[in-house]
Amino acid sequence: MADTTADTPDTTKTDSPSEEVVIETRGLAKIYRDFWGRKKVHALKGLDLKVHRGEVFGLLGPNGSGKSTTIKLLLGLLFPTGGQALVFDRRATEVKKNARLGYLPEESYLYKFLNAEETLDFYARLFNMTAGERKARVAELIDMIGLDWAKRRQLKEYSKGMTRRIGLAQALINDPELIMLDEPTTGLDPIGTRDMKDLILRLKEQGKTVLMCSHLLADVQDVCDRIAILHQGELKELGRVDDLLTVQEVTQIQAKSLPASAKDEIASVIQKHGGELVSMERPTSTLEDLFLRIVRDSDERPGRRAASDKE
Amino acid sequence: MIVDYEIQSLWEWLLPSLGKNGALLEFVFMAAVICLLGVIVGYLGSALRHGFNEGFYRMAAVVVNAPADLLRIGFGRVLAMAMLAAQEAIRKKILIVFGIFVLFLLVAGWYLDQESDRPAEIYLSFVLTSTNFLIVVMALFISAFSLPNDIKNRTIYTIVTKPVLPSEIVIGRILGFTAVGTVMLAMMGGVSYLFVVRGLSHRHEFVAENAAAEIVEGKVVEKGKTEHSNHHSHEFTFDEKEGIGVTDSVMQHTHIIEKAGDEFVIAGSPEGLPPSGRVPHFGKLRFLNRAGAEGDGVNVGYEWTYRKYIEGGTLAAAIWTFDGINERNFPKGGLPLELNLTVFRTHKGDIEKTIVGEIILQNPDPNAAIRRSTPITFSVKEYQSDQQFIPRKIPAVRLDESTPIDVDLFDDLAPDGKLEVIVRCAERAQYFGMAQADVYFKASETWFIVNFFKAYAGIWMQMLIVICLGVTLSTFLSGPVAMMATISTLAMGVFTRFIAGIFGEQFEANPFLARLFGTVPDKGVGIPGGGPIESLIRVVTQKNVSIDLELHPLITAAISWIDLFLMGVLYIFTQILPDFRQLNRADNVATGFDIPMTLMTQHSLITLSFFVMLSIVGYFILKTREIAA
Repeated sequence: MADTTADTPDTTKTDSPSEEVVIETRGLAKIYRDFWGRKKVHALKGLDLKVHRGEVFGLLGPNGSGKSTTIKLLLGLLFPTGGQALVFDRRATEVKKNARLGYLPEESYLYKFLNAEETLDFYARLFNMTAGERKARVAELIDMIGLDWAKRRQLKEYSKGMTRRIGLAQALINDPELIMLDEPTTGLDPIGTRDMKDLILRLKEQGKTVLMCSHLLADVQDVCDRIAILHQGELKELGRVDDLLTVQEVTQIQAKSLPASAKDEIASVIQKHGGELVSMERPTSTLEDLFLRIVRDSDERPGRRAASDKE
Repeated sequence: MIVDYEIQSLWEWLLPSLGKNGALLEFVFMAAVICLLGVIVGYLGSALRHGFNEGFYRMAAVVVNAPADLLRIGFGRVLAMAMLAAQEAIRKKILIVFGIFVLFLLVAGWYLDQESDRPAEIYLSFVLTSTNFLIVVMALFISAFSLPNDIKNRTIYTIVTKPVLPSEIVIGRILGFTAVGTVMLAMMGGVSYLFVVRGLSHRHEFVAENAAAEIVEGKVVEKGKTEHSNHHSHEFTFDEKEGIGVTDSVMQHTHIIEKAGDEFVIAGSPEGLPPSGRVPHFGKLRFLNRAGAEGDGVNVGYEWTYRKYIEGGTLAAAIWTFDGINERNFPKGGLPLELNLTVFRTHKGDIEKTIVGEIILQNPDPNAAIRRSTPITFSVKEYQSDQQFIPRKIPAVRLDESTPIDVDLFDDLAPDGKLEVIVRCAERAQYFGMAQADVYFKASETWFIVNFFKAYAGIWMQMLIVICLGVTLSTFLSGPVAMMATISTLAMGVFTRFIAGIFGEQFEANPFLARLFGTVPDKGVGIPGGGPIESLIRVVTQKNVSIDLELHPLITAAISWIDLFLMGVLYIFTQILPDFRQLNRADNVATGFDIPMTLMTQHSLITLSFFVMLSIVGYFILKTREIAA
């Protein structure tokens, strides 16, 4: 990915004018100061972004690049030092915007003394849902995250993955139009990660807007429509994931059951057309794919070593 | 023993009148001061971050949006926040406090003085004081640490990103903790009630040979003594004809005696234990000196000069002037007079013997046809309340006659509701001591349980104020700091009078200020010695308050101005703070005085205004605070 040589598409180019803007930042800047008002960190320097309805947008960058700061500014947890952060055309500091918004924090900051049902019921109350609505929604979400068996246990007994799922459920409690996910896959095992990614794609299918930030590149690549790459508080790259990742001069061919003789033939064809054969080899699977295959296999036939060693 | 305070009616207290502003005006004034202060601090903070112009607009936006935000408070969300707070408190095992309290009660027998002359006072002060202490400490801990913990653990992130207003977070928390505290207080109150009632309830046995028949005023009565149990015994008289008897008053109570067959038995629980709430009808006290002229009482040399003394066998007298003496206020066909006088003996004599005095009821109108009742003699039992029931028909002397005739107390002696009660000591070289609140008519009585409940309501209000303070301070301070700040605030509230005294004294000594602005309200007794700097100099140079500082006049003036400024800030601050001692009415219950409803109403209003103001302050702080910073 680092070798990507694609042109940076202009933000405005990908905008189709009919698309509704859900999140907008204009010259958004944040300077962290110490108690005396002295400048400590310039966390964000004039960020301009637009996120449209129905897209999955990824904020990408190394630790300390300003992605979390951006999300916190958009949530109103931080106040901008300069510029504006708008959500649903309202200032991010307004409480009203929260009615249509869901937020999954970096770690699931939940009340450990509540159990799963109480937790979700509490958050549902904050949206003034009626008792009937609450009950139905809580049951639905607990079913969705697959924690029916543990719903009466206090969260302090939960594993990290389980709390993460409850955190996700609370973010979806109000069936939000916009979901902000701060490092959604951190701390999850590969299956959890897969589930999370599937969920994000499902949300997209339902027409929701998702803004996520992550430093795990694979996650972002798998689910995001568009990404912004931040580094040291500055926007370095912005565009559609497919555009950004397509290596323009390279064509990749994948074929099955090809005899060795055919390979030479193909190589000569490439040469004939003036192309350069970069590589022709068996593709390797990613470790993630391997792991997932083993786990699924073992689910189907428990008690045996995984199918992979048969090959 | 004595509850000495002036009870103002609700309107007197609330509305401005001559010489004072009234609570309402003071509230408005203080609210204005807080608003102004809030705007200034808010602007400075905002300007520091965003510059003078942008800062102003940001602050203005917050102020403009505030009324709508404060009125939009949603009941459902407040309830959700309250339930969360309550659950938090309960799951953090706050109910242990109740366990500690029960433990206190279980071992109370070890350290409560069983032989006291006033058992009710000891029992009641104990339960009320310990409940008060535990509840206030509990309120401190649960309120001051909750929000800072939420911010530290970032659980607050998932809340403020829901459509919850900052005011709902603050109010929800206050209400939630209050609910937990209320339940706890109710449990403590229930247990305490049982503890007091059962602890004070007792019976005595009788020994048959102790009783002897006598004829008193043509009636056959049996007189005798009960067995000595529970650290005391009673003497009793039993009316054979009526079949009922009564004991004398020991340790603040009497017993009713019945006869079952040949045996005497105590009927029911002790009378007067636990004490019901007397509603005293107070008068104004003045003195006549030993020559019978208007004057003052004598100081017998005690340092604490609350009571003044009149000499026996002279014309010295204490005169209480009462208002509203009529049938409507005293429907029981007479006046129940209670006296709590002390005695100062210049010679010992028979220490067991009581000192005799006389009471005269007098019409204050010097030209009235019927001026004075004939003297009613009484004896002062020290440390006990003397109760005299003055019947409506009493002998009095007409101005022009010498033989007493029976007159009507209300119609003849107090035709316009005014009555004077003159108390004299009859024995030479002995003294009676008294203060204004020592002699009163008992207008009515409330049940003990009602009075007890009112005392708990007082504790409840203290708890609410502590919770409000704790929650509001914890919107911007960390847990331990918020707790310390709450404690300091409460402590400073206790010194309100002291600070007002120092400030008032300095203010009025200043040649310019007093002339310009007049006196300092609530100054009370002025306290000399200057503010922090002057007193520091005096401490270091060992100069007491009565001598000059002996510094250059310019330096003295500078010190005085700085002190004035510092004390002024403190003074204004203390005017906003709650005075907790006011809300603590345990003494009333313990000594058996009713807690007046007007006082309860005043205290409720004070508590309510703290709740409202602190919630609003909390809203602004939480609103303008960067949660994630």
